[in-house]
Amino acid sequence: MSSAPSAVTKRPSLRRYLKLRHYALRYLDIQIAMLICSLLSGFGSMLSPYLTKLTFDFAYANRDWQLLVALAVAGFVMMLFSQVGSNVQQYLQLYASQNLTFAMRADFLRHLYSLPLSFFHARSTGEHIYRLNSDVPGTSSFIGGIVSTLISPFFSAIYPLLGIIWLDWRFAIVAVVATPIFIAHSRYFGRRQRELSRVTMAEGQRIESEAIDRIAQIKMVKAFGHEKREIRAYLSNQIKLIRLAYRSYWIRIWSGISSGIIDSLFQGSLGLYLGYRVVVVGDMTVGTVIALSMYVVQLINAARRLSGLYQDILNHLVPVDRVLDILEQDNRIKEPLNATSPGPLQGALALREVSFGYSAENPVLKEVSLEIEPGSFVALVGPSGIGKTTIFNLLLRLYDPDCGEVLIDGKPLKQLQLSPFRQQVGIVLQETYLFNDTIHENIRYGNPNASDEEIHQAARQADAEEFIQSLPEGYETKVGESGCLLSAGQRQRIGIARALVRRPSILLLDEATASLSSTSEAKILEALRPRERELTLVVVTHRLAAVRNADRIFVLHEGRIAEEGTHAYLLAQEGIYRKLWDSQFGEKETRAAEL
Amino acid sequence: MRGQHSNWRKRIFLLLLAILPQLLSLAGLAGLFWMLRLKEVFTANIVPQVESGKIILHFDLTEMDRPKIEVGSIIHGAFPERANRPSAEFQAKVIDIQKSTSTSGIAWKVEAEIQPLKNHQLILSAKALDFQPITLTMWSRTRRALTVLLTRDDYSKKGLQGVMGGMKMGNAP
Repeated sequence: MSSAPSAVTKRPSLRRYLKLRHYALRYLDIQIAMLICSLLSGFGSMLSPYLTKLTFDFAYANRDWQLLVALAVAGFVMMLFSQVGSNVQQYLQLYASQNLTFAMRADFLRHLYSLPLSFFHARSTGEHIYRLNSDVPGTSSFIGGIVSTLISPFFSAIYPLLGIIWLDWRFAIVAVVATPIFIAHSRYFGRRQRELSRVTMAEGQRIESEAIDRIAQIKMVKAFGHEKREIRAYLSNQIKLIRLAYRSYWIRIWSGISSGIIDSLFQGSLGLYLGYRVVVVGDMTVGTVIALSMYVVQLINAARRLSGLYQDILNHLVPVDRVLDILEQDNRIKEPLNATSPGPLQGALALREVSFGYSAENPVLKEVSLEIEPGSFVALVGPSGIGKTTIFNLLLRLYDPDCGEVLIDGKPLKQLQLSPFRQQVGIVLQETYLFNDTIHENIRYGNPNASDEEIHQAARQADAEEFIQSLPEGYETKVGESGCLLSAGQRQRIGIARALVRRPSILLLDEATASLSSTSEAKILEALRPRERELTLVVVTHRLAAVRNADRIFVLHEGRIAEEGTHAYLLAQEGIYRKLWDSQFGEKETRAAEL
Repeated sequence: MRGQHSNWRKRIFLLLLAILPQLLSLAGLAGLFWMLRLKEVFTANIVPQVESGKIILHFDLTEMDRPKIEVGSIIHGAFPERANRPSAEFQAKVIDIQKSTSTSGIAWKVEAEIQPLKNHQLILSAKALDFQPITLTMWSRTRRALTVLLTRDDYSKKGLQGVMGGMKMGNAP
């Protein structure tokens, strides 16, 4: 059953994230180099306060100017060292994440394209674009920089703690005891900030998606005169985003103020105590005091980073979850490992007791069986929503039937390799989608290897050449966004030409001539009518006149094949087909035509 | 294949870029401090003696200060101003260090020869002090920089007041 997949993001689970481990392992050497960089640059940062202490306690105290110069050089080198380490680490992260982004985008797109149509029906285009453009780079950036995200904060805390222990272990206890205050502060504001970020991100995605949707449907917006309404809706959404940005700003302000107060209290009291130790007790040097203060500041900053680490990771995991949501979508239309090549198709199609529904509650087809001879011209007729297009979806294996099977040249479609099979099938839909390119390129899309002559021939068969040549730039005319510069009928003709240029063995026309005049429709169908059994033509249409010359007509009613036969046979049956025909042409005309 | 090679070359280059400069910097710093001759200050009671035209300084050294000089080390100091005689700086070469047999806590007996003996004022100062003990703060240079700088020094344990005289941060010459 083709139920719509859920978009709900699952709870963080290590087992789930491990599915992406091969991406992390792909750049293991880079990750290790980043870890070493992180270790070394952290070590460089740790040495700086100690060098300051040596400057005061040895170089100044002993008036040792040689040492002073050496320490100054060492300090400079350490600064460079730390800076170079940090920059190299960033570059490595960039290298890994950019390469990963490329690989992940490829995998993501590959998977996305393999998903069934029902998946796309349940989601907006904007959502896919957002995931591809934002979530995939977010995920690869996290995986590419997993060392700096997960491990570096620990180093940046451990190094100053070691420095404090080295100088005076009692201060390490004070620092460790005081750290939870800073952690609590960071967690409180960090959580609020991140919740807000999450809301902002979701809102941003919704607004972007909505805007893409509206602009894509600009014709309808204009036709309904809703331009102002859409602008208002967009601006009102933007105002929501601005309000969220202000809320974020105020959280940052309050966080900064409270952080300043806590810092001042802690560092002030620490400074007073250290001063007491130097001046009154006299058991500590000025250099030690300065170094201790520097280490304490480093430790507090590291504690803040560590306190936000869990939330940071959760934050980074948001895009990861969203990417996994897609990658974990089960592709129900799978080729078996031993799928066979269909070879050149004869064009025999069959449905055997096929039942299918887009949801479990509403079955569309009920035990439908039909046989289509190779090289025949077959029509599927019936009222709207009866399942004619669904049969096309099943014939193309865009969906699998819930029961029964689809056979192509006598072989189960599920056992065939999909790509070579679909390459031999042409389909034209009622709504023809054209790319914003020339007519020539739009037709060529059906067969990238087609010669100009083949393209022109396909256009002639589709009764399109006349209007194409009447255009100032002929085949080089740009058709505009979704072919908006052409009429619906012209678009359909190009769509038919695009299907024909593939030289398909099976051609499926789904209301493909609905926008054409009856004359044009008849001309095209006559041109397409299979000769020498080289093409199986299956047409779905409401206009019965167009298919009265069909070799066989299947009449669908209430999800079943109610009648089948030639036009004359069906008329004589006085059944559903007869009623449909009469409703289109009137009983008198029908009788007259029969006579 | 060509692309793959260049990719691997780039990766190896990146790895080297990441690690080598930092290791070289650390090694360079270690080398710098290993080469550095650190100024080491110590205080001792010295007894100057004029012996066959040479001025020999005799002084006792505590166990803690012992690593600060070796035979051949140059000691720097200055005789204090006294009896209208200005202060006179001197350099002395350590010529002998002997383990002390005394039980008064003095571990080592040191002899150092003042050199070069050109400064007239210095000779007069030394002669004036002949056999009169005087407490002097002196310094020498050793290659113990890495050991001293990377060892938790006594200052943080005992405080400056005991070692160098409190907030003035020592009376080093």
